[in-house]
Parts: sequence; C-alpha cells; structure tokens
Amino acid sequence: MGEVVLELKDVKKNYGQHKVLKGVNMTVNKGDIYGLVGKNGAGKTTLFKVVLGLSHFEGTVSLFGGKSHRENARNRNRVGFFVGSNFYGYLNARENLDYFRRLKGVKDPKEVDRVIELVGLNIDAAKKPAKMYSLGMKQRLGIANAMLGNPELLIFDEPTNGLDPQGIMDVRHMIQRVNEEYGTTIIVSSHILGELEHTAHRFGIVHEGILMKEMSQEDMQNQSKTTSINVDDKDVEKALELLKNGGIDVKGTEKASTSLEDFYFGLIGGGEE
Amino acid sequence: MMKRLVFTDLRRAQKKKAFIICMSVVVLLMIAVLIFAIVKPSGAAAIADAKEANGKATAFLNNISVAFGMISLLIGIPIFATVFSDDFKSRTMQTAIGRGISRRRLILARFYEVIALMIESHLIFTVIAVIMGFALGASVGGIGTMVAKLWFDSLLILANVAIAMLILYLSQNATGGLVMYILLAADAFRLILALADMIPFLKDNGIKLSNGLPSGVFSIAKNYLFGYVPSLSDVSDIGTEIEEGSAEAIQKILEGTINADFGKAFLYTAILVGVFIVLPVFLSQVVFRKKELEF
Repeated sequence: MGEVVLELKDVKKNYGQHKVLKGVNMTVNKGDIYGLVGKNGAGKTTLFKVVLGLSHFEGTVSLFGGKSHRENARNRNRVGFFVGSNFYGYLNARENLDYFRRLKGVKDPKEVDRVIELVGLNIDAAKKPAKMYSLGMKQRLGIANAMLGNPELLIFDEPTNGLDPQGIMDVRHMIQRVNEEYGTTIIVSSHILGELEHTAHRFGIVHEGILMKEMSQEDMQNQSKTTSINVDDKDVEKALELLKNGGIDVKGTEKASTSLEDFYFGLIGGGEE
Repeated sequence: MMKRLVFTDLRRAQKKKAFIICMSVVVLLMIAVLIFAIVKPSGAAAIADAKEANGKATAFLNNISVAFGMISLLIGIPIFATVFSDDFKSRTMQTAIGRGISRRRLILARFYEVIALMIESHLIFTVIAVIMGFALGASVGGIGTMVAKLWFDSLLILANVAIAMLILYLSQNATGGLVMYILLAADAFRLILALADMIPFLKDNGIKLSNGLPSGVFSIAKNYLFGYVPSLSDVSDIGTEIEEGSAEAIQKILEGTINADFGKAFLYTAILVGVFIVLPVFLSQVVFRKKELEF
C-alpha cells in the first residue's frame, strides 16, 4: 500500500434528523484514481464538503497525514477541486483563472495557459465573458480552475455532468493524463457507473450514507468467476462442440454487443485517442 | 495572505463594468446635487447670499452634507454588491475555504476590501469637493472641516455594511444582506423607531429609541465632534439653527470648527466604532464559523 493521501474514520453528518453520512471509513492512496460511485443523494457531495472543510461533521479526517483541523486546513493548499461552475460571469476564462490563481497564491502566471491547454478550452471562445459559455465550456473552466497550481490531490464532483459524449471522453482522458504525467491523486465521483469503470484504479461504493465497499479494479474483475471468449458468429457451434469434447462446462453463450459509446464514436469519429 | 486576498479581489472589482458605471453615476449625482444647491441656495445660505456674506460658499459647505448623505446610501450598494453578492454567486468562498483559507480571515479580508473601495471612492469625492470649495471661495478651515466630515460619514457607511454583513453571513443570502444595507442606509428603521418614540412612557422620560441606531449615534457624534452641539446629551438638530440663519451657525459652516473637548468626542466615536463596526464583523465571523457551504 502506498502513502495515504486521505483517510476518513467514522465520519458522520446529520442534517437535522436526516443522517447523510453514517460513519464513513475511506482511504485514498497516493497516485490513485479513486472512483466514488453512488446514486444521487447517496452522500458523495457531502463527503467532499467534509474533506474540504465546507461542512461541520463528527469523526476524523486526515488530509496528507494531518492530525488536526488546523493541519488539515494547512494541507488543503495541496488540493484542487471542481465544484461546478465557479466563476465570475463578466470575466473571460483567462481573467477568471488569473483571479483564482492569485487567490490560491499560485505565483506563476503561466499556470493559466497550462490549465487552459490541459482542459482544451478554445482560446478564441475563451475571450468572451464566461456567462456566454456553453455548459461544456463552463465545466472545462471549472476543471481548469481546480488544476491551477498542479495540486497533489484533485477532487472532481460529477465532472461530466452536462457534457456531450466527446466532452465526457475528453474529461476521462484528461483525468488519466494528469494522473500519469503528474502522479496526481484524483478522487472523482459519478452516479453513472460506466463512466468510472475504465478510468478509476480503485472504487468506493456509497449507498445511503455508508461506504459499502472499497475495491481495486483488479478486485472487481476477480469478482466474476467466469471468463468470456469471443469468436466469430459462424464458429460458435464449432467452439461449443470443441469445449464440450474437451470436458469443459460452458455456463452460457451471449452475443457480444457493441456499446452505445463505441457505436457513437465509430459513427462520428473521435473518442479514444 | 490577507493582503493577497484583498488585492486579488480589488483587482477583480475594478474590472467589473457595472461597478465602474455605478460609481461614475454616484459622482455625477453628487456634482449635480452640489450645483443645484449652489444655484438655488436655501436657508442660511440664502440669508448669507442676501447679506452678500459669501453665500455660494455657505451653500456649498452646508449642502455638501446632503450630497454626502445621499452618497452614503448610493455608494454602499455597488460596493456591497461587488464584494459580497459576487462572492456568493461565484462560490469564491468555497474555493478559498477549500484551499485552506480560514473563514475568519476571509470575512476580515472582505471587510478590508470594503474599506479600500470606500477610501478609493471617498478620495475621488474629496478631490472634487475640495476643488469646488476653493473655486467658490470657501476658506481653508471650512474646507478642512468639510473633508473631515466627509471621512467621518464613511464610518456610518462602514457601520451599515458591518451590520448588513452579519445578516448576510447569518443567512448566507447576498440579497438579504443587500436589502439590510439599503434599509439601514435609507434610515428606514429610524422611521419605524420614530413612531415608537411617541409611546408616552418613552416620551415622558425623554428616551428616543431612534437615536440608538447607527445613523442616530453617528450623527450625534458628528455634531459633537464638529462643535455644533455643546454636549453628547444634546441631540438637537443643527439643521434648524442653520435654517434660521443664525450668524453663529453660518460662521461655523464657513470657518469650520472642531469641539474643544476633542478627546471626549474622539473616545465617544471610538466606542461607536467598536459597537457598530468591530462587533458586527466579529459576530459575522462567529456565526459563519460552522455554516454549511453549498457546492
């Protein structure tokens, strides 16, 4: 196990009588892409708010080994996060990012160009006031903001909400690229299971305020005790015969289907680089 | 860090066109009020004019307080909206707190920013007022007192902002804070309390609740500090005296005056600053300490 970046122990959060987090234990290791999965209202956003000091809670949170609220607060300057559209509508992308760069104490002005390039913001379009951006551009701007100063831990709360298929794919690639190039630890939440399946290394499944299971990509694959073998349609009968003759019990056959995503990108081009 | 928070946001405010336009409109309105007051002098100014005793300068120095009164209402609105409403709308607070900046510092930084924007705008007003004053032949003493009064009025703006800030951070509602500021600046609560002042028990005992509001106590402090009333318990309105055109009142306006008991007046003002500015800012920090912030 690598260095622990974030650790939550028995974290509880109530809104009046409503228990949103019921004793969450969670560990995120350095270099992980940690997928936090759960339906809407499961407690994912509240969990992030707790980590970022935006919500009062019971239990223990340790950020980069911080042992107190004060140490955690100090360590938060190593965290970047995406909280949806956070910007000033009358400033353009560059002005917004420059504002947040200064606010965060990131000294290098070139950081603005770096993150604009990283999220693929269209430079010409980015010259307009942010209130005129499409939803996709707003999301990209928010993500660019999170990445200012190259933080060691990135938290993305539903970063693909409102994005078109190409935008979703771009965010996925960007997450992988940042993780690989900079070794950034990333926690990303989604209520769409397929979205994280191929991106995250580890998963945490939240349901009704409880982190029900933490598992690696490998663990998830090992959950299944069967393996599928793909053959051409015309060879199915022959393959079944051969397996039967070899004394191998075939549990079932299923016609492999093309995912909607693969079909879409096959049709319009783009998708996987 | 505090400096960084304040200056970063100040740079942003200067880029907001709506803010620049509002401030320009306020400056133009102030000039318009002054010109109107000079062209059509009334009260003491009219009497002084009739006596050919420097009526235009009297009109200017007398009526500039009316213009400043209007400014205190108008100027705070764009400042409040630029500093606080934008902060909530753009979730800057969440970004800053999530980055490890303490809530206490953030609130203080926002208040410092209000002070900085107010100083900036008051500098502009001061320059305009001083130029106009000299052009109309006002004395250095009269202009000096006018400038001192202008800056004293800024304390009332700060008190109104500080109290509105408390409502804002308590409710986490920028509109609520702005409405509170407008009500305070427009002296709406004074009208309500003035009715309460009519209650026989209060009236019989000489208790005026309306004088307990920031506008009331700062007005008393100003009148006392600038020598218009002989004591802090004397809350009579200088306006009546001026309207009657008393020679002494005209003289005070023209030459400027500071209370002989400056120390006492200063101490009273310091207490007001503590109660109506420092305390609300501190309470804002307390109420906001554990507030839930939304994404």
